[in-house]
Amino acid sequence: MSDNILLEVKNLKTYFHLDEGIVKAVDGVSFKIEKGKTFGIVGESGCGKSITAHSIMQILPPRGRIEEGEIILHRESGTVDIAKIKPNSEEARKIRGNEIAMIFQEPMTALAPVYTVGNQIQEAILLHQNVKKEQAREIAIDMLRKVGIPKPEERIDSYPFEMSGGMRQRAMIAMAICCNPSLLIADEPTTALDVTTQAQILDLLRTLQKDMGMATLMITHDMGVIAEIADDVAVMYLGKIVETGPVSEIFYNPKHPYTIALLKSIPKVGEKKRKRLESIEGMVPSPYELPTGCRFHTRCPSYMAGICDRAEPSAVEVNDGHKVSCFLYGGNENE
Amino acid sequence: MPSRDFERRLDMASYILKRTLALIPMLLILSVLVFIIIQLPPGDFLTVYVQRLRESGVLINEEEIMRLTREFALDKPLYVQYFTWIKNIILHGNFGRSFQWNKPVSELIGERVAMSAIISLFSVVFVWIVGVSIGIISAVKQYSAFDYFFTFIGFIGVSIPGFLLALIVIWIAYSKFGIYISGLFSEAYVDAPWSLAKFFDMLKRIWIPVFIIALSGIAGNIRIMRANLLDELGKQYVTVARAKGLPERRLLFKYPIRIAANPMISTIGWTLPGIFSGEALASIVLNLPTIGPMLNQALLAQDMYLAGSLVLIMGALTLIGTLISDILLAWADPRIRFGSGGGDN
Ligand SMILES: Nc1ncnc2c1ncn2[C@@H]1O[C@H](COP(=O)(O)OP(=O)(O)O)[C@@H](O)[C@H]1O
Ligand SMILES: [Mg+2]
Repeated sequence: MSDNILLEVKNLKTYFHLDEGIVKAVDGVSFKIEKGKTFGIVGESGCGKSITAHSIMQILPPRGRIEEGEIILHRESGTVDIAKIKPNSEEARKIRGNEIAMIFQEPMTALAPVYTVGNQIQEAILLHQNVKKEQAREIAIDMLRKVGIPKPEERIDSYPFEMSGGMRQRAMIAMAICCNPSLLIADEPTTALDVTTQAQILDLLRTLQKDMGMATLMITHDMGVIAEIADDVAVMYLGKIVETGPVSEIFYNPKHPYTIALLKSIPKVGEKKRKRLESIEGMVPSPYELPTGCRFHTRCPSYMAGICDRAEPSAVEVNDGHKVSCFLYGGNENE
Repeated sequence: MPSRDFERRLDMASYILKRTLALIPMLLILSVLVFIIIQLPPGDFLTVYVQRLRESGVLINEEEIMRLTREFALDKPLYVQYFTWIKNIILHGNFGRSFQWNKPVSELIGERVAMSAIISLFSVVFVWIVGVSIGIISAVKQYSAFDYFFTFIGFIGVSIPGFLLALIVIWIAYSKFGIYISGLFSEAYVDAPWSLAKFFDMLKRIWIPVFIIALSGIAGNIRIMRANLLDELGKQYVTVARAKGLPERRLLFKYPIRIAANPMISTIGWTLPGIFSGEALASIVLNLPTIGPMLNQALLAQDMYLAGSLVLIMGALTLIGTLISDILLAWADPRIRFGSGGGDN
C-alpha cells in the first residue's frame, strides 16, 4: 500500500499572523495522495483549500506560515519533507513546477499580459529541463497540441489577451504539465468558466492524467466536479477535514452532517438550477473566533448541547478508508 | 512562425507612422495659436521695435527697417506673414528677434538651453533612478521600517512645494554654514568662459537645485511605483510564476516590476519640455539661468517673438514627448500595440 503513496500530508497547520489576530487557515490536516490517482478536496469558500495547496507548493502569501506538520513527497530515490525546506531555496524551486505543478482558478489573470503564451511556457521548460531554446519551443508547441489548442505553431506566439478563457486555461494546463509533474494541483480550475468549457477542461484533465500517469489534487467547492473526477475525497470545514474516504463511500454513505448538507446542494437530474453551497443554514463563523469544540456545531442540524461545543471530535474509521470526525459516530477520546 | 512575427512588426511600424502623422495637424494648430499670441499686442513688432529704439534715443537706420520688413513680410497680409514666419523657422532656424535683448531669438535660447538641459537632465535621471528603486523596495518590503520611512519622506516631498524647500535650503545654508547659495557658479567663475575648472565649480553647486527639483519628483515616483507594484504583486500571474519555480528576484523583475513600470513610461514624455525649460520656480528662487525666468520676463516686457518662440518650442516638445511616450508604451505593452480587445477568438 505505501508503495503507491506519492504525497503524504500529516497534521499540517498553516496560520496567518495578522494584526487582527491569528487566522488558522489550515489546522491539522492529514491526507494521502496515491500515485496516478485523483484526490479531491471539497468545501465552502474560505475553508482553507487553497492555503493547503499553497502550503504544498511553498508559495504562501507573505504573512502565512507552516507552523507544524509534514508534507512528505515520495520519490523513487527516497522521501523528502517539503514542509522543512525553505520556500525560496533551490531545492524547493526544483520541486515547484517540476515534480509538483499547479493550475489556478482565474485563467484571465493567471498569465502575465506582456509576454506571449509561448514565452511563459518555454520559461518553465528552460527552468527545469536541460534543453536549448529551440527545443523548448518545440516542447511547448507539443504541449499546446496535447491540451487541444488548434494550430499550436501559431498560437504559441499569441498574447494571453488574444485568447478566450477556455483557451487560456488550456495554455495554463500546458504550462503546468510541460515538465511531466508527478502531481498536478488543480485549484478550482473550472470555477471561472462556462458550463460547456468546464466539462471540456475536466475531460482534458482526465485524459492527460491517464496518458501521463500523474496524480491530481483537485480542489473545488463543487461536489459535482468531485463526482466526475475524484477517486478519493476529503471534505473540509474551517481548516479541518471533517470526513474523508473513497468517492463512492462519501456519495452513497455520507456520515458527517456537513457532508450530507453539501451533497444536498448538488442538482438532481432534471433539476435546472444548481443550488449554492450557502444553502446550508447559518453563516460561516469568523476565522478569528473559531467555535469551541466541533467547528460545525453552530450550524449543525444534529447539534448535541454539552458535547459538540465542548471538545473536538477525533477521526473515527466507519468503513474501509472512510473516516469521519463527529460525535454522532463516537470519537470522544480526544479532548 | 516568422510570418506572425513579421505581421507584428508591421503592426508596430504602422502604429508609429499613424501617430507621427497625427502629430502634423497638432503642430499646425499650435503654430497658429502661437502666431496669434505674437500678434496680440497692439501694433506690429517692428513699429514697437522702432518706437522703443526712439524712446531710448537710438538713431534708426532706414535700411535696417526695410530689411526687417522684408524678412518678416510685415507689409504683406497676415497669412503671408504667418507662412514667412514658419518658413524662417523651419528653413533657417530663424525665430525672429528679441527687441528686449536686441538679439536673434535663436541665439538667446541657444545660450540658455544648454544650461537648462544640463540641470534638468541631471534631475530627471536622478529622480527616476532614486524614485523607482525606492518605490520597488518599499513595495517588495511592505510594512518594513524602510517602507514606513520612505512613505513618510514621500509624503513630505509631495506636500511641500519646491520653492519653499528651496528657500529653506538657502536659509539653512546661509544661517548655519554661512554659505550663500544663489546661482550655479561661485563669483570667480560667473563671467569666466567655459573651462574644466568652471565645470567642476558648477558640479559643486548643481546638487542643490538638482536635489530640490528632484525631491518632489522622487516623492511622486516613489508613490506611483510603490502603488503600481503593490497592485501587480497581488495578481495571480505572480503566484503562477512562483509556482513555476522561478527564483524570486528574477520573477520580480520579469513580471510585476516590468508591468508596474509601464504606466511610468507615459511620464517620460512629459519630462521633455521640462528638460528644455528647467523648473521655473526653483530657478527663479535660486537665480539659475534657465528658460523659465526668461519666458517670464519676455511676457512681462511683451517681447513677443521671444515669448512666442519659447511657447512654440515648449508646446512642440510636449507633443513630441507625448508621441515618444506613446510609442515606448506600445512597445512595452502588447495590449496597447494590438488594441486590447481581450476578445474570444
Ligand atoms: N493572504 C491572506 N492573508 C490573510 N488571510 C488569508 C490569506 N489568504 C487566505 N487567508 C485566510 O485563510 C483562510 C482560508 O483561505 P483559502 O484557503 O483561500 O480558502 P478556500 O478554501 O476558499 O480556498 C480564509 O479564512 C482566509 O481568510
Ligand atoms: Mg480557494
